[in-house]
Amino acid sequence: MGFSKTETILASALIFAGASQFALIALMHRSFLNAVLIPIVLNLRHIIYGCVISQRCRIRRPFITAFGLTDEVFALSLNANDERFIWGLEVGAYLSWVLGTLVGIIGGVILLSSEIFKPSLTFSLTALFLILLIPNIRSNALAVIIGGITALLFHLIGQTSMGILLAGILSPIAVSGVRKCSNIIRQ
Amino acid sequence: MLEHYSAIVIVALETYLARFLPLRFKFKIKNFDEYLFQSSASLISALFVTSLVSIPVNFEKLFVSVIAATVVIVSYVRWKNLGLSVLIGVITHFVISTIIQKCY
Repeated sequence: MGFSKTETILASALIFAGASQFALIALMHRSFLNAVLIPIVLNLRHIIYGCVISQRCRIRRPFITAFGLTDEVFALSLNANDERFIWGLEVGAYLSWVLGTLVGIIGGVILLSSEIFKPSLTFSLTALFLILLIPNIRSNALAVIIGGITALLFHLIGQTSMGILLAGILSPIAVSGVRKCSNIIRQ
Repeated sequence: MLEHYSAIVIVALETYLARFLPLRFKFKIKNFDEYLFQSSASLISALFVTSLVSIPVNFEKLFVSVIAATVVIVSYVRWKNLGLSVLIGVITHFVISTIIQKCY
């Protein structure tokens, strides 16, 4: 995908956010600006995580706790009442992530040297986005559909990055509009 | 090269700040949380669709990817394991691609 081994491991070590890292890698060859802007929108959900955690647990060292507050850590921290418990989760998740990246780099070099494996390995990106999408289908089906269609239309006319950005910004507004319309019709 | 490093550092800072600021200042958000959740869902959907469909559209590749994606969904629903589902999806993709290549 155009990233060197050092850059890949650095991304996992510094960013520590799957969706943002994959978005960065997927978009970097298209547009630098979109590659750094789209993760901002993707990271907006972390604002909610931070708000929820700070209300449920007494956070004394936010500068440490914040670094590892991923989706999985957030989900497991919901019943935590000790900041050190969250740190424990974060250390485990961080080590798994960085070591997993390292294994992936070593394995990837061997597997990607063969042209036969290359298309199937790049499918892992699609599979990951799909898995991240599954929990959202039930709760945010309309946003998922509108976002997907918007991005696909722009993708087909060669404006992929613009489509992804617009999907993130405009879809919630469109969803709100659709819901208001359906409420008016019902009344 | 420098562009890649700058992008990594910028995204790392963005991610850290998105996690740090609400913890530090204990934000209270009203009515905005739904927008944020929907925005994330739309973006992931957009990233999925654009990574699934290649331009120009190649129906053979798309067919293989759709089958593999279906297997990913089934395995994720069955085992709820992200890594395992991705691995099964990649193997399925490889097997179907190989079969199609040998048939044609």
